[in-house]
Amino acid sequence: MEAARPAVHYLNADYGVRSWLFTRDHKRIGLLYLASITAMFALGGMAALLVRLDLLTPAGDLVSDDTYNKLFTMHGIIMVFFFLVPSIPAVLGNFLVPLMIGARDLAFPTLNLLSWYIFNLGALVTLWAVLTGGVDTGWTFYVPFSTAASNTNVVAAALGIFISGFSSILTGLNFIVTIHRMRAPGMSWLKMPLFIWSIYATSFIFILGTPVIAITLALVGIERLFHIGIFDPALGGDPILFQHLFWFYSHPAVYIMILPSMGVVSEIIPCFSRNRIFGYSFIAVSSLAIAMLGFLVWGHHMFVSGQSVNAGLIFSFLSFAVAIPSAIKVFNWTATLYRGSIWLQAPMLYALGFIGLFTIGGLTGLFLASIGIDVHVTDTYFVVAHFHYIMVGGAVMGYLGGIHYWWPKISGKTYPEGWAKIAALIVFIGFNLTFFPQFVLGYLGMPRRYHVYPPEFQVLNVMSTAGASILGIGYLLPILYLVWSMRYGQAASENPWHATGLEWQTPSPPPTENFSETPIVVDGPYMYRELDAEEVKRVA
Amino acid sequence: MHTSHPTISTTTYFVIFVLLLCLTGLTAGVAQIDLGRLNTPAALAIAATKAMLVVTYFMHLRYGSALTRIAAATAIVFLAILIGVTMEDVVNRRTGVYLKGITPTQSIGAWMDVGQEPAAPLPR
Amino acid sequence: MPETSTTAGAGTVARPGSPGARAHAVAHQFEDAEQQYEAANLGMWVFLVTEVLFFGGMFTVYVVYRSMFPAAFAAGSHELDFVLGTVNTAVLITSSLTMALAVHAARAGGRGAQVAWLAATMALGAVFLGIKLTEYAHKFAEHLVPGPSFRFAGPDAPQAELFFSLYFVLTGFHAVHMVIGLGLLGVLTTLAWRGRFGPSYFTPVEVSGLYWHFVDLIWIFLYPLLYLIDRHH
Repeated sequence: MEAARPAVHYLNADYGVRSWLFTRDHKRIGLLYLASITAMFALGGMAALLVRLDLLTPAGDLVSDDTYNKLFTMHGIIMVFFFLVPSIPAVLGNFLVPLMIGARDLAFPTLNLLSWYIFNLGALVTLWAVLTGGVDTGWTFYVPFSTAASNTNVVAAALGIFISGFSSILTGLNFIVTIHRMRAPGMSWLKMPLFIWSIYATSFIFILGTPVIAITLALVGIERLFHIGIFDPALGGDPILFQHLFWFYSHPAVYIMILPSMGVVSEIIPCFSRNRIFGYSFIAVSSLAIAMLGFLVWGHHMFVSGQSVNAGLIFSFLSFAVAIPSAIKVFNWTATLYRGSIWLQAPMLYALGFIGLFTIGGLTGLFLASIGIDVHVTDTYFVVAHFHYIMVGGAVMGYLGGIHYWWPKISGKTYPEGWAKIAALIVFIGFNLTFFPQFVLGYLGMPRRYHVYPPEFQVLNVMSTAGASILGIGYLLPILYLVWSMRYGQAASENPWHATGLEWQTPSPPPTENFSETPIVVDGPYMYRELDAEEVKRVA
Repeated sequence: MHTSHPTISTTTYFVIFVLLLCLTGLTAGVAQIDLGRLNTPAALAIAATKAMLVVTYFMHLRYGSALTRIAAATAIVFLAILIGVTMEDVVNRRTGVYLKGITPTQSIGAWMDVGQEPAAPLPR
Repeated sequence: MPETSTTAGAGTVARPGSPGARAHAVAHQFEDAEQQYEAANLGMWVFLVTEVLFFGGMFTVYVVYRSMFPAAFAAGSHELDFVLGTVNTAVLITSSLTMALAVHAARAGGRGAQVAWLAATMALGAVFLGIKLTEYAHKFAEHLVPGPSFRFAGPDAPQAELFFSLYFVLTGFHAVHMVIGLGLLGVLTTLAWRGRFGPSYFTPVEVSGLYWHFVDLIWIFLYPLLYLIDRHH
């Protein structure tokens, strides 16, 4: 536990830009992704900031209608495809999967590097679309507006997302093969960390869902470019068919965004309550169940689209069903806390925040799954609040918690805990101030994607914008102190959190080969009570 | 290198090849005969058979691991979900549960028909 | 970090003098050649799953529109060249045979056989694409390419245009995959000529074979779905 920072590790094993740009080391690639997605998060955040500024006043007087459409579209596209989808898998997943299963690297290191370049290419094409006029279709690209009526850079944006899809596919492929074929001796499926289970389940969705959005956006691009009518109603084309194809991916996509975050929470909660996780196999199976069931509920985005009533009923019922495995996880995390020795460090603050905010987001999802309610609140700020509670209150908090938890391993330094706690608190307060008023706004009838609204909604909008500024500060702080810690932080020991898991049994930062010898796994996961008992014996 | 599964002989490959050509001829021939509503299922059945031959023998799934078989099956299952559920909507846009007094042609689906006039106003 | 550096547990020994006799090094992340091969195999199958869903999106569009507009689809199908479509199906099936034989030859080790079968597969693939291009040229001349120049004599012209949109999109993406396949085959043939593949290492041939057979599989479904609608009329 007292091992000093090693002399040679993956960060200094090789120097120079080329050693980073041509690396095959999964840990370096994880950091390359960290840089890319942080940049995209900043861009998506700026779009959000402009949206919220415009919404300070009811008259829509900051930007024009068209510009407003472009702003919320770019916010959605960048945040969904270029931040949330890759965030935990490409950063923490790439870094941790080999370490957690005792492997030297992923199965296909070159494909891993390629996936990062493909991601950047997709991002650049999309950015080009933004800078040369933007896109105003919403991130949902509904036809026939996107194919026939919009006069913005639809094709370029669709192309950028299409390209980035290959990045997802390669990442998911790598994880599936690695987890199946490269676990260390003794690491059976039921000894794997739950983070691996969640990455595995997420990879299913990468593989099965991403190709469908790829072909769907390709068809939109082809229709627009070559005037080949595929969704054109004048030829008999069916706009609802587009929605089926679009949401077949885009609903499971939200599980891509949340499952890895849940995996992070499953790692943090046991460590910071010093308890074995309650119901390990239930959480593991729930991850798979969410991934599978998540493919059966896409029509709940289409209750008012004109799809058949039967379809609506089936999708509504299944949407209730898919909440069950998520609820099982929440119960199990909470049960893990019971009689635990709670240690409120920053990762734990994020994890606890996740549980609360995800629960609120999830419960409001049930309201939306109920057709009778959905008919009234669909396309209002109620929906916007619902998914931000899950995506931001859930996924992003989990991401930040994971970054903090594994930061000593990644950088070999400890971050300043005091600042981290303050930042977590600011994020929590800012988040709720931003999005809770939006539930009320939506319920009162304010539609989404409009920047002109009735004056009586202004107070809530001002609250929301105020919250957004606070949230922005909360996000800025970790960037500042984490970068600061890389230079000035205290050296971290091999296992500063006294955590279980193979990644904590190698130096911080790890050597390029991860382990000097392939570990052999004997114990089950999360043996915190036993670990602490040993510690006490040793110190006593 | 790996001796985990037996190799398939060249003879087998040729046999499968001839079978595939025969099935192609069969489907081309059956298409010329009017089987009414059975033409399409027949064509798909023959295509599926050809596909099974290619996958099992040419792609070695005969001796593949359980994992690769599950992967192949999973692809088919999820494609079936995509097509099946979408078709369920397409087929049923004018049927289903309705409120008392509203007929299917007045439902939300009716005016989505291509080329049709908008439905009559709903009864008050 | 070179991917093929040998470590403890590295490459296997092959019969000296046989192709692939230069023991192919095991990449550092793998324990042995067996694991490396299994990983590559599984990786390609997982990739093919994504391809099923990719084409599957187009198949979904096809199923929906054909169910809505059966007459228009039949009329459109009649405009396709039955003979060329059938010949192309036979060509692609034959190329699958030659590909399977190429993989077999790589496993067995005969360098000449490998190159011959791989080259034959390429040739057949090129024939397929040639025939496809001919068909496209015909369609262009007949004003059956969707868009402003589309002209269809028949009652369901707009829906027939939908059929042709699907025809071009389906066969177009299929053709793109074939071109990529030809590229792969070109690389493989060159490497086979240099004696790189043999009993101790034939993974790229096998894995590319899987891809090539998959492209054949897609066509096995495209043929009846596009060319054989209501042909008895």
